Amino acid sequence: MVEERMFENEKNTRQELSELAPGLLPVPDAPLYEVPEGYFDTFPLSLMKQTTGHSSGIQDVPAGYFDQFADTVLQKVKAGTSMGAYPAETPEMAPVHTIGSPRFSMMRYALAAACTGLLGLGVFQWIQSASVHSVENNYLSANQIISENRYEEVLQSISGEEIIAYLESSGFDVNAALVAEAAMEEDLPAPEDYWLDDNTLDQFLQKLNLPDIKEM
Amino acid sequence: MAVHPDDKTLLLEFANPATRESAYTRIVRKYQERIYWHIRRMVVHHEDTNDVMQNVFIKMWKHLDGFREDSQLFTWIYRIATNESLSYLEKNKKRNSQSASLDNEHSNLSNTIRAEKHFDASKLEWKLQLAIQQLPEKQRVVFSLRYYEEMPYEAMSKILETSEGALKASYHHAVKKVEEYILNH
Repeated sequence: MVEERMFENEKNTRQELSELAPGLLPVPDAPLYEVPEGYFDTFPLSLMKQTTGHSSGIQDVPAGYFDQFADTVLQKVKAGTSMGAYPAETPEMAPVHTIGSPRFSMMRYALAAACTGLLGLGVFQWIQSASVHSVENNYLSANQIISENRYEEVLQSISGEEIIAYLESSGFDVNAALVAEAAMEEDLPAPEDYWLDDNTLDQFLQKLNLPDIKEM
Repeated sequence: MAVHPDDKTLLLEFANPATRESAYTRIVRKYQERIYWHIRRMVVHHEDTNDVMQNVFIKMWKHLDGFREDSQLFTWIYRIATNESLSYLEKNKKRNSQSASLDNEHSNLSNTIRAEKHFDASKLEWKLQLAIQQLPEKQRVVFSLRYYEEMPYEAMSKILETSEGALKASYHHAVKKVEEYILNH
């Protein structure tokens, strides 16, 4: 990392140095000492924690909350649908299950969330992409899947492309799901970083190098 | 290179409770690398530098409200960083003398340099680092500000609260000592 210099005084100092000690090296371009990688990215946040007791102006959310949210809701809905009522006690945070190809696991969460909402309305349109053509048949298929408790099995059988097509047609943010799928949580830029620097998110997306990401 | 807002804007934002924390973070981001290297050249070890850095910026948080805008913000932060570094070295010196260590502070710092990952005793840039550690602490500060940061004597005078003439003399002595060390090692 090249250190920033604050003063445009180079000519004066170099001339002075050459007069005082001609044999002395000019200032090296890069510091010799090692600095742990990312130190300057994390220092302001760790400092903020010490000075104010929190890392930024926003409320903290437990780690992994948004990864598990869809699955948690889905389990509760499934339990409620098949038993006629929500179980008296549900685990606080359900484990994450990856269904089918990991490439599209996040897509499946989005789809599961979408289907959960649609179940409530009695419409199960995604079955259309699996060659069922009438609305009446859609109801029948959906009811059958629910009664046979084959929800996960059917969800797993749908291809990634079908999921993307459905989510796009339903107005879901496919790009966001793709980014969430490709990014590890610990790699995500801190909110304070992208609040302060508009380029942070662009650089982050470039780093992910998603071939099928659409212009956002 | 990141573009940072000017100090006046940052200070106005810091004075506003609604933007105080974000302004503080921006000030830290603006100055952290310069201050880091200023401290690191003094205390050498990264972990020690990190400790001093935290002290500097925590002090800044506590006292920025009382900062008088008749001096520049960077001068003020550099002054805190210099004082904290010297005070850290002083504490280390006392600790070492209490623990009956045979090594003095200079050789401790030189050993830390020699333990650096890419240290190469045959290279002039590393000899320069060792030479700097032979200087008395205040001369080391003057050398660092002038040689590495190319700081005008006027700014140095405000930071170190010393006359420009005295600083010039100090720098000249320091340069001669460093040159001599390099020629003899």
